[in-house]
Amino acid sequence: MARDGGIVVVGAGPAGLAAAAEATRAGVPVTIVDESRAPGGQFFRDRGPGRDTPGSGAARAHALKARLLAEIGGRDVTWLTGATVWSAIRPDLLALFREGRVELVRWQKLVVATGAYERSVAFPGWTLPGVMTPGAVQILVKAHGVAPGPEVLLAGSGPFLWSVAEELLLTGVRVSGLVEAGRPARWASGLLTAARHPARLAEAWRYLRVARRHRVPVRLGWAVVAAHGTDRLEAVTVSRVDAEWRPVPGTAQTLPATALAVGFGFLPSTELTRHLGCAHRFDELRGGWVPGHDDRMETDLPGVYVAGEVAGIGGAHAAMAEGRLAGLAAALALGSTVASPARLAELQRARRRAREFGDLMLRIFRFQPGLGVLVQDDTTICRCEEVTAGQLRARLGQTEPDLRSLRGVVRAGMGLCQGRTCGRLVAGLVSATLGVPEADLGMLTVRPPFRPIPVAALAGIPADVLEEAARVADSSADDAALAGF
Amino acid sequence: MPRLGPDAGPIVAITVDGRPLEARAGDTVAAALVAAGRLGFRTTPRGRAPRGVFCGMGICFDCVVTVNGISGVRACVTPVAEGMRVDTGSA
Repeated sequence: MARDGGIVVVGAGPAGLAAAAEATRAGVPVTIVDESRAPGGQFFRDRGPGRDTPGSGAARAHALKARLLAEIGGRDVTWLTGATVWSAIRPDLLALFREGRVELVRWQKLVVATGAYERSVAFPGWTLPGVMTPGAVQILVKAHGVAPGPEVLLAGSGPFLWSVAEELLLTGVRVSGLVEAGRPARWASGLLTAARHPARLAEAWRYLRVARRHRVPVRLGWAVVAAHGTDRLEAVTVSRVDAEWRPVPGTAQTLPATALAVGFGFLPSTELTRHLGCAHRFDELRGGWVPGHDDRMETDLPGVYVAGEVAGIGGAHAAMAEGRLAGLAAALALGSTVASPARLAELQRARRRAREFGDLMLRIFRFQPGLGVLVQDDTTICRCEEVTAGQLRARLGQTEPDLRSLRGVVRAGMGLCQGRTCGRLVAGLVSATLGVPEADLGMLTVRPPFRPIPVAALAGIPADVLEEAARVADSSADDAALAGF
Repeated sequence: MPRLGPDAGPIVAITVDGRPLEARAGDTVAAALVAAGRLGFRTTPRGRAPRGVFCGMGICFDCVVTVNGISGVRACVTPVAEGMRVDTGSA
């Protein structure tokens, strides 16, 4: 019943495509699984050949993606696109939902390249229509030619804001301001490291030039502290922030705005590695809980590799370097005689180099906890279950201060997003209130299905697999596996 | 808002809350709604608060609408199709 997938790559973004390119080149059968119908993930999202805005980031990324796809080409590869991985019924057996049915894929080696999603900060009004992540606005503009309004205010922190600004400006959307909480100009000491990465510096220079040409008002050391409106966004309040991103009293200004794109970098998308039971560690700089791995990208679970943002935020170029490394290492482990072990060392060097630049960006735009004070008692913290910060604070003393226990008591993280949006918000709030480091609050466990699937589709799962799944769940101390059925 | 950038795709006719809407091939439901000036897609069951697209990539489930009678469908990752019925409102 289950399909034999050879090396199964989950995620067809930069890391997954690079892993597939390297593994197919080594003569090993590869299966690529991705939720989207078109490969590329978020970074390579585009409007198709020749339809990207000329000179834009999407157009440049398009060329990169085309090279990777050409490399994968007609080799031994199976594409399972439009396929959602919603559980691992056994560690070696992934459950997918595709074209209305459940399918099972068995892997010999697994490369998890599930990428990242954006990090949010809760503030009064952040749930209003018109307030979105920068990625949401970028997708609307670059993949659909649709803007949420005649002008967009970009806010938050990190280099991604600048790339979104470039995309918007070149496509003809006015950027009414770029509000960055950090103060990157103070990081002149990073120049020595940056100088070793001329291609990345050229990219940064291009962003700055485009923003300048379009006279985008840039505020460094400022943040959005509130959004206002009834049915949709009408105005935002910005305020100067200190080095820890605490708003400075007396500096608030309210500006009209109908579209706000606000985000604070990225968090690794670790549902699958958590569900599989890979050991994770808390890496504050690279986005929090990440699966540990060795110098071949293999986790503590034999045969399970990670690559790219899921292994720690580092950008598309680090993702591609790690994808290649994981793909080659997996192929070698499967006994490929075409793959060259010498290439392994070369890819490990490329990976270290790409991570060096990624880490520099993360240090320059390091997330600071000061904006946590924006959360009022009536501010929504869990968007799915409509849990307010006040409700969470009120129950804090009534349970163990770990995320799993809190989810049981206040339902934060219980909703459809499985805590992807609120997990770190809850952790930050508890950490600040109780003075406990975030790393001590633990990870939320993952409950399959990671993404909702119709109950009717489960009828397609063979009985022996269901029995096996029930047996695995019974023997596990975790309530999660069974809860998915 | 007019479509930005290179040529928009061919027209795909859908209905939103019973009214016809011209989407474009390749649009997601979210893109079609935003292009028509709609930012709020639903009100929440408890707080009756308006919500629309937030993450735009299928992560947050804030943009859910009813598509051809099936509720809880993420507008941001669902492509439009000729004759599709989209209902916004509560979810």
